[in-house]
Amino acid sequence: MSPRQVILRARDAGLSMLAVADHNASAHVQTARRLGGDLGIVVVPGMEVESREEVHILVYFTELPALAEFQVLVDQALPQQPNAPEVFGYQLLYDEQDEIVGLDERLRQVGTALGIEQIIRIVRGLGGAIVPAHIHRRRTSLLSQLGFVDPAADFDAVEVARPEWVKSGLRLGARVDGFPAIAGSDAHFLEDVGRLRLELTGDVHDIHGLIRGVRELAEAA
Amino acid sequence: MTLKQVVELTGLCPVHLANGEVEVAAVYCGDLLSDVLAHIRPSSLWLTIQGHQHVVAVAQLRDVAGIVLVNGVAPDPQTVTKAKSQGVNVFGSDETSADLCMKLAGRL
Repeated sequence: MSPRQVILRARDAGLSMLAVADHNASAHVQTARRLGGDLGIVVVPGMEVESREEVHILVYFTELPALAEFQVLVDQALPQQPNAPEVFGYQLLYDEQDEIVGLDERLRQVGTALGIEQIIRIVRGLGGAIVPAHIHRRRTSLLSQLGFVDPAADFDAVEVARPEWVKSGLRLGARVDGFPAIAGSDAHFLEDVGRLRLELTGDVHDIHGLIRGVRELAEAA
Repeated sequence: MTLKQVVELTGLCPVHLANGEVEVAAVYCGDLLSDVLAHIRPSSLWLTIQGHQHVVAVAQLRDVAGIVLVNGVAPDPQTVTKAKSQGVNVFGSDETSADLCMKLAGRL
């Protein structure tokens, strides 16, 4: 899944906006954003960060520098260990022409030392949005790790896993566990890019526009 | 003590026994993979409630003597498949990790 292939798939799927949120990583976001920009597709700079509690949290920003700053903190909070490619695969780095230009040798398929509250605080400070991922999943979710979704937590929305979203017949405007709910393709393979999309009327240029639109629908409901 | 001896002593149920002759030097109780990766020592018996397949990967990475799913937790089917293909020892037990630890206290 190189940035170029992802953006081409997004174009073919007719997406006007997508987020790139890799696991504790963000090396491809800038490339994806540039390629997307050429095609009129907004790429939201994001990351799926794994908290100390082993909860997956989607964080989204509006600009690359904020993501870069967050990545520095994530790198500091990850164990100083090399990746084990025989277990987790090779973390290849691609350029805009799909050429492999490097290898990310850090161990990233683990939790960081950052707690959920800490992540919220940091991301707010950087002007970003916080959306706990697949909140009802059997592992690495708020429910699996904490046993509940805190209604007082400062989340912008919660993500419901695609299969659950479809099965439950959810729509934008729905609230799950007290929060506006969203879902996405959660594409780990190219063919899944654009598999589930959200549609909003009005101008949505960035993640805050999306969150605002979703919250408005949830309030109206 | 060998893994085989530990199994006899504690009454563990084999899910997949790849090699019962490995030495068990220590026990570790942990359910957060990051924590286990950071702290488990080689040749440890790992007691956990996590039945998903990722425990097999962690066990390989840290040279674990064997995984014990406690509290009667059943392994996911993929966990069994992966344990068999990777040669990782996996057991089950209806007991708690605390009870199993107390049985092994001073014996390893």
